[in-house]
Amino acid sequence: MISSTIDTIAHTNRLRHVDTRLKIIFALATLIITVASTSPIPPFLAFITATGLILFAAKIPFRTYFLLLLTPLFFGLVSLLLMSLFFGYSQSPLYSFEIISHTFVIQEEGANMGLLVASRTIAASACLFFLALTTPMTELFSGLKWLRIPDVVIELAMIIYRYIFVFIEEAQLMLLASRMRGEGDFRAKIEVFSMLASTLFLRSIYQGDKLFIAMNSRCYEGETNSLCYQEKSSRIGIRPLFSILIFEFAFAYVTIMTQNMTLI
Amino acid sequence: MEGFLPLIWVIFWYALSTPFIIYGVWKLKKVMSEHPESKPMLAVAGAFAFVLSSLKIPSVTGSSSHPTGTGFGAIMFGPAITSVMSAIVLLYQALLLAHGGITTLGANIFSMGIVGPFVAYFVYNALRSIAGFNIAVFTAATLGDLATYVTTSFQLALAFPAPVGGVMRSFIGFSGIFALTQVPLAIIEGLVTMLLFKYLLELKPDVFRIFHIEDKATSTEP
Repeated sequence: MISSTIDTIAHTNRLRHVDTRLKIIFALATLIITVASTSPIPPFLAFITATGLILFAAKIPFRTYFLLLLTPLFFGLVSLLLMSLFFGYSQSPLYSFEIISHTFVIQEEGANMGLLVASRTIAASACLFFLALTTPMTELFSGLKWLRIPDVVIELAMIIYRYIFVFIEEAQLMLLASRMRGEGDFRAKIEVFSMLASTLFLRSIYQGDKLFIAMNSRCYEGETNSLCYQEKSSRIGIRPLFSILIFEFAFAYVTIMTQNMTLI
Repeated sequence: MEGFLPLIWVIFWYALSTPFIIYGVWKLKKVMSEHPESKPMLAVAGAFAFVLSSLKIPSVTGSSSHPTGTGFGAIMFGPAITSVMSAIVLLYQALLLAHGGITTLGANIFSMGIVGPFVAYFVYNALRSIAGFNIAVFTAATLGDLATYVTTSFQLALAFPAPVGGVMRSFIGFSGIFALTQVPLAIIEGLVTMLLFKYLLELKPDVFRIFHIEDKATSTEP
């Protein structure tokens, strides 16, 4: 299960103990500038930076990162292909070819737009992976609190997070059991799946009730206070914050300077 | 997919989703303080939506097809709370599974967390007394899922209008590609949600008392 892989790495990588707030600021600022860019050059820089941090600073195995990157790469390439074929005016053909007596024309505008969208998708995904791979969910909860997300939402988020794993565990057991009894046709499959889902629901609710009783008996009053690596009141380190800001300003400057550049 | 939407649309969809989410948070606060015992149910529904929506089929147009699992929440807790739940689920999708993303979160909340649940909720309420509980649940979950994808296609079309024919031309293109995978998935989601409600009502009707589903269901059941 890929979720447990990301979760494990988030707990064991080299950047795990860096202040969560710094990682959030870096990831969000880079994401926003990447999405705002109108040429493929800034996304390329963002991609290099995020990838460098993931592979060399956080020491995440290349294979894991590459497997994650395959999805945005696939999306990017398909968008590039479709947009260069279908977006654009007929005055500016770059290249045309024929498949089964139908002429396909690659348009200049379409190719540029496709390149831009593909580069943005891949670069923005790399920024997201940086945050997801270096920060455990528990640290992100304290980050969300710092971002002034209401407590009820964080509480629900925490319980859902716990339940995702309860759910997956129970589901694997029950799916295995149902497979051992043999598989039926499509109709039977739907029926079995819904029965599994409802039993899973009930079992998870029972588990949840127990958890809730246990927490109540420990004076749970709707707020979960857990120890975070960074204390709530602690200040953000000035020097790392400053270097991130310098990077983001430089990055924004490059984005503005290159806004009218195209590769083709 | 992360980074697919241009900045202006990122901001637009975040802004449009915010009032719904604020209302949902207010409702959630009320339910959670009045009925603390509803928390496990809310969480299981969230986890259910997460697991269902992680079963995805990549679609070629910058997004992907998957069941949404939000029809259940909409019927159970109402659309406002489901919006907040979907927002959390979508954030987990981005951070744990690398589906979707932070910049597209606003747009995804709008399609999967607001339009889908609201459609499901209204369809369910309109059909409940006419067609009976089971058919109402099935239709609501199916149409809610489809509404999500019509909205996504529209969002993509607005961000990438075709040079010839504009937004409408793009919309037809995007929704045509989605329809291939999404129509069967929506029907399956409808069936699963219907059967899920059926078994849950048989096995543990008291769970539904908090949300007043039980009386509605049993009173219209033949």
